Amino acid sequence: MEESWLTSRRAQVREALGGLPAEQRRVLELAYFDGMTQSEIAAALGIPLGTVKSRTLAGMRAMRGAIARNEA
Amino acid sequence: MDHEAIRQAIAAYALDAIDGEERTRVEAELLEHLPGCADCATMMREFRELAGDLAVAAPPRPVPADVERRVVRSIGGEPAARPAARRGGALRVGAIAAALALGVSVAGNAILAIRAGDAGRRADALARAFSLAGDPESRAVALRGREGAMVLAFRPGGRAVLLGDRIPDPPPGRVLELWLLRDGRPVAVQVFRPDRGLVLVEVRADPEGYEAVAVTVERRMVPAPTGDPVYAGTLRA
Repeated sequence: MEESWLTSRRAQVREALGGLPAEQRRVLELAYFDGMTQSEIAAALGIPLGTVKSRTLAGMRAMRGAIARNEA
Repeated sequence: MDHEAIRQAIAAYALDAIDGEERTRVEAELLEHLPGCADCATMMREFRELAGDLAVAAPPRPVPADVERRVVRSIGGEPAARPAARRGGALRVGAIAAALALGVSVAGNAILAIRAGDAGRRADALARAFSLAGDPESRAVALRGREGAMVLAFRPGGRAVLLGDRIPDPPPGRVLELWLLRDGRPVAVQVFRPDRGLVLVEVRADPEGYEAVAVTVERRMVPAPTGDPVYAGTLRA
């Protein structure tokens, strides 16, 4: 039962992540899965630090909304 | 920081993606802001849960060789060399920030995250600090210094606690002395020393009615400061 919850949760989170605009998904993946700081992400992608910050917030908000809708 | 910048900082903090040099400042801002803002406290809780959810979605990949050592060191309280300590340090302070935002219910987890195997007295003091921060009438003020920040959490007319993490020891033979200031005059409160970087002091005074709070380095408890503050914050009415 625990395994099926985990499987279903993983599917939900991957769906929410996959549903993000590519530029938001990229900053979240680099931060979380690659352990990069926001300055490192800005340098790697060649975009301003402020853009990394705003995309991170937008991505987190969108994911939170998608998962909440899925749970409702 | 305006509110949108605070929200951006919460998102970055939940992902542990804040740069080392900026982290101290951001932590001080969050510790000051979150206890008094229910919306941002909720956002911190939800984003940290979301960061936890991301772990289950992580693609399979090899674990770097030093991850286990870093995690063990971070919960054991032994300082690891930067930049390897980045995630460990953030986990410890992240636990404080989250606990301040959430109140007493997560204090137990925060204690475990901050330092395993510590005495009950420390746990009690930390729990009181978090219950204070979860109290809508309580206030939290950041004391900023060149080497990190501390937070004074208090309930006017009630208890007060001074909290800090990764605070350097004063030089050998010296102590840190806490002051409250009114009309520009410092009133000596008490002396203390960090314990392996952690400051958890039950303050023996009510900060209500004072204008500022400061910490100096002294040889012993003295009635008037002998040097400039190494940490200071403003107590606004």
